[in-house]
Amino acid sequence: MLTMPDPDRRTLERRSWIVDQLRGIVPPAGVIAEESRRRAYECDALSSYRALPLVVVLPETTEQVAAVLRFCHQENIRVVPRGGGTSLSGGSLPLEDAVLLAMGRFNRILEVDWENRCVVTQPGVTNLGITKAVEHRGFYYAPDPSSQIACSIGGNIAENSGGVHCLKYGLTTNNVLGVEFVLMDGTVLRIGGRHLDAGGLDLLGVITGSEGLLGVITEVTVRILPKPMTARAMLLGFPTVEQGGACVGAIIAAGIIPGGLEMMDQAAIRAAEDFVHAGYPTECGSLLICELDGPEAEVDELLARVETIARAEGATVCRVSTSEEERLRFWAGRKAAFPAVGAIAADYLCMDGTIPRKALPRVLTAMDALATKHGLRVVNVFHAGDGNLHPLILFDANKGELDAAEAFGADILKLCVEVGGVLTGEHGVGIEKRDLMVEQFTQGELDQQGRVKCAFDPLGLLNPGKVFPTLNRCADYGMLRVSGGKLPFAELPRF
Amino acid sequence: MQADRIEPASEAEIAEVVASARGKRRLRIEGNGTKSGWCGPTNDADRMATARLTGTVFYEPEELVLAVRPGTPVAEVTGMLRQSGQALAFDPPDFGPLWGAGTERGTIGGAVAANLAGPRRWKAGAARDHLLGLRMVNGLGEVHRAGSRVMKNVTGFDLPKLFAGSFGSLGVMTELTLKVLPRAETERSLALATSDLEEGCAALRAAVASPFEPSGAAFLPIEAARDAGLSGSTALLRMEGTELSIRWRIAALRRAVEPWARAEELDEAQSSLAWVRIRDASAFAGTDRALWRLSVAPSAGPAVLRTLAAQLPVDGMLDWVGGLVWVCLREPRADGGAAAVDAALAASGGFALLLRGPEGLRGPWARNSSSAIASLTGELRRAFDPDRVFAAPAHLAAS
Repeated sequence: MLTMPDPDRRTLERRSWIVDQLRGIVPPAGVIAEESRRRAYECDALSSYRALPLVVVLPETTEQVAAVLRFCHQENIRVVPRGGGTSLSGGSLPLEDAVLLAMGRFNRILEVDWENRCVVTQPGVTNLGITKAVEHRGFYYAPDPSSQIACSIGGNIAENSGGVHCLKYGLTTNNVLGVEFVLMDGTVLRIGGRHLDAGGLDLLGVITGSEGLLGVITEVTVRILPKPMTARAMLLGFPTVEQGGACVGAIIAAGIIPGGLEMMDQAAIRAAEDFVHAGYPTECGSLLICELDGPEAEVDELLARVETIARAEGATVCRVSTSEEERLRFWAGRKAAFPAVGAIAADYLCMDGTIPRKALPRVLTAMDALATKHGLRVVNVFHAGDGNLHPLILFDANKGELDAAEAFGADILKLCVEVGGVLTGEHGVGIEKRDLMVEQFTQGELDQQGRVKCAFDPLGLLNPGKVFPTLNRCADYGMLRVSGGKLPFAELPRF
Repeated sequence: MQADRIEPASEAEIAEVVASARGKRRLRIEGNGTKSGWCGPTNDADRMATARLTGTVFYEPEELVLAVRPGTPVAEVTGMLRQSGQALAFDPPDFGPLWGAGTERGTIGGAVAANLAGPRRWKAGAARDHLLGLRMVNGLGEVHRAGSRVMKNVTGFDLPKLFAGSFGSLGVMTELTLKVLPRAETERSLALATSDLEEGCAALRAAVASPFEPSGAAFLPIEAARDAGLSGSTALLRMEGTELSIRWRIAALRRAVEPWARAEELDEAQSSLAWVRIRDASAFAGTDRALWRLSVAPSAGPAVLRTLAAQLPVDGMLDWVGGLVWVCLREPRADGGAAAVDAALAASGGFALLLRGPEGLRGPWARNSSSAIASLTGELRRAFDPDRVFAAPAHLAAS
């Protein structure tokens, strides 16, 4: 059961006037009012939750974004920003009384600065689009979330996206150099840039991962890296999950940081093998896919060392890719894990929590008990290098199993927190995990974050109902600037 | 009036001091105070030191995580990590000697509060990229946690990023959880003999754009070069990794930089010494001459240094592939060189800090800062510290 903020009646009543005003700010083609066309924006990749936005606005310039936000600020209208709409946590779920600010028209790369190894781009460019723009000269943009073909770089910043290679190359937050950022009152900030130390507080750091709650990104500067000379993958199969996990620890203890290190449990191995026939050993209790990249001489050395470690930890299968085609085939099964599960279940929920790596065996055992408790199956893929776990819960919505699946998911995330981890590693809190925030934070800690929100958006108009279970009125925190003894819109209720 | 200095023994005591300070007194947070010269004098605040909060809370090498108390000296942290073949990849400099504050006295809390980073900054990041979580006392005297012990975490706002580089203006960090990484097995360096600033930096940029993975790229004019144990002006490239990997990569890199200069290889000991000296800006220690630290786009570094050198007699050094410009005045100037720095930044963009200079002359000299950023900064400080208990250095206090 998910409650969203009550719609603002005044906004709903003035809808046509609002639409007219927006048509004066953004070219008419960029304002979508007809219900049938608004439907396309009613959800993101968390498709069990849908809501029709008040109106969809597609600005094309920073000035238009600032003017839209300024207008909404003046009229106390809520705003929900949207990038590629690929959020798995409902981060861009519309509200009935909110302007859905879709940034898809911001889709150009503005500059590639080869001398300073960075790219200046508009936020609607896809993650992979950045790499495509620089690969002809041997560069790439390192964070590679699995949705990289469709997710936007602006959205990546909002969610601090990761991907398979983030253990070695960092998350989005370690690869962004600067943004142009518009606050809810229309103020345009330019933060960071091509120089590394901007002085002052790390605004870019708190903006990254803020899930559309603090402002709207209108321009991005990211660093690009030289592509490694070579990459080879290894398939390492173990009789049990414990042994696979121990191998991960041993690799890292040996001082090796692989380019990628993924784990699948037996259920995931079998589902993937049935689906794509990548040649996975289906008798194994766990499978590691370890990618090593760099100059050839270095990779050869690392492959040998990892093989020695794996065998010492009881690996029964050890295969090394001998060609690029084979390397891709090793990955094909892991990359198909989600659709593979989709093929064996009517529906599935993809969870996203992070745990200390050493807790994996304990967590998987506890998950078996939870599966029995909720009467549903679960399949696990694991970013073994950094502890980010993706349990896939199989269910059938038509049999009324969504509630049980969500309850199972919530139990898993509580377990993650219990063992010293967190609710979400890369998908974000959105609406999906909002009501679990109290499992990880005290009320005082949530209030502290609420005051940070107030510093950026004192009226609480940006992306309401996301991330935090309840945000107090900023006035209650003492954070709302009172002028002339009057609170702005004091008569209006706030969620 | 001499400010008081208090040294609480525990997090609880810190919380008590802060809670009772509200509305009555101001506090400037420090570790061992080695960087107090950086921050400038604070006459209206008492100093509260975390020096007594020391020791490791937990260290799990296989999990790449370390939780440590803020008053622990950086040298102690790195020594402990070294025994497990690990390190702080951001390699915090020891700036104590720049202000005559002794060596190896800087605390880990201070390193993170100043967002320090060594020559590997452009590759491995700064303190902020390695701070996973913390415990802190805010300006209300409340104790809170932020972040976590795991790397992949987007649960709520990334408050640790705000604390790194905040110079104690938001709260007192009472425990820090840091990501640690394997230490390279060994290192070598390629020294390109050149006194041509532009050519030398072009070679550095080409090296860094190559797939041969250097981890340090600095240009040392003659004074800085001598301080680093080299005989003449040098563009220096650091290679880290296993013996085997370095051997191959350094040969490939040597071929790649041939168009620019003759390259000589430094062995592990020579390389290690040089990069520590570069990291700590040792060439500029042992004096009280004005010292600036400019952060600019790497390609702009050479022009910025050249412009400044044309107007003032200076010693300089470039690190971070040219993006970090050290400038030390050879002779005193009333404005510490501020007018010249300001003009140079107007052309290049970037940020400058006067680390050491005439009293009463403090930053910020940021070309891209704005009143909007200053205003937001002020609101953020209010979010943690509504009564303004915590004092901030000049470059943050403009808000």
